[in-house]
Amino acid sequence: MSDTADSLSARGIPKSELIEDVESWLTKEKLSIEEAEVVLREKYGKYKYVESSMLAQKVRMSEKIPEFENSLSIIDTLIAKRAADESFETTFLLSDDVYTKATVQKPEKVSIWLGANVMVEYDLENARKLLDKNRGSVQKVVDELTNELSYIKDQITTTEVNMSHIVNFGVNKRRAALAVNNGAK
Amino acid sequence: MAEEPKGVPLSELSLQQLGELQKNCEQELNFFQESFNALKGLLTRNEKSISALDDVKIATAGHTALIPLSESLYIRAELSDPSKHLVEIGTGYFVELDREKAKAIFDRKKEHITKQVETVEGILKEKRRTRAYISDAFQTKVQSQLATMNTQ
Repeated sequence: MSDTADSLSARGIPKSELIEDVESWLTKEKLSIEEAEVVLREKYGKYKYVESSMLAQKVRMSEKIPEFENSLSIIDTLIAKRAADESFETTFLLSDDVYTKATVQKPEKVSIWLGANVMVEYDLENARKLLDKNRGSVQKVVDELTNELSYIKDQITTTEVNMSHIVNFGVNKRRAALAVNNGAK
Repeated sequence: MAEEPKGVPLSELSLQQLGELQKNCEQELNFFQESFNALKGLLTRNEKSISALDDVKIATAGHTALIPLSESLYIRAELSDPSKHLVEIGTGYFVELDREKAKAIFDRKKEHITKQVETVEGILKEKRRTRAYISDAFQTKVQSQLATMNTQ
């Protein structure tokens, strides 16, 4: 397919060119109308599939951001407490319905759950740096996915237009053939 | 004199009516199954709260532990007063209670939820039996109509 030779998006999604002249396009591609319909329907299906999987990924990534914001604000609070030489008091979750109070005399270090059964202890500054970096990474991915999704939406629209062009061309051609036959009688 | 409403035998209902009845019964069954599952979830959560209270029983003031500040952030801290707890009693209200009172609340809650579970379980059995009856009546009706058609 010639479209793969055309421009690709950041994630390798081929661009869908608008078919201006259906007849010359069919000739160039060496396709019949029926074959063209099948090709475009396949292409459309692929775009739809990629769109839905990217959407799901974006949702998963977006869910992580509030947690980072929350952790960062907690660390900021701890840093402020330490600067003021105060102890840090908090109520923490014991189970879903039970909380208990605890005091940190001198906040110096925090442990961060990294996933895959790994937790690492950092001092406050390094913890802040790590969370900032991770939050930045996640935000970057979300932004990229947003761009990709708007791009792919354009491709879907273009493909839909192309599909209707092919169908209309087919209808017109059959109508013309019918007129010729009627004229022959 | 107003006639008292009386039951209609299933055999007198049409296929369409039986179908609708079956659908209604199915919907009710699904609803109660969801209720049952939700209540079981609550029971589990309640059990966790009780065992959490037990776990913390050995702690004393000044006891050091790694406590969660958020889902992924933890810090080493001293428990201020392990015998005092904030308990969520529903609709966003919290009450500070000592361990015995907190445990009493959860035990009472457990008892209440268990009763509800048993009630819903009974209803589920009833609904399943009803569904079976309706299904039988439906099949009987279908068979007799097929027999009638074959006769013609």
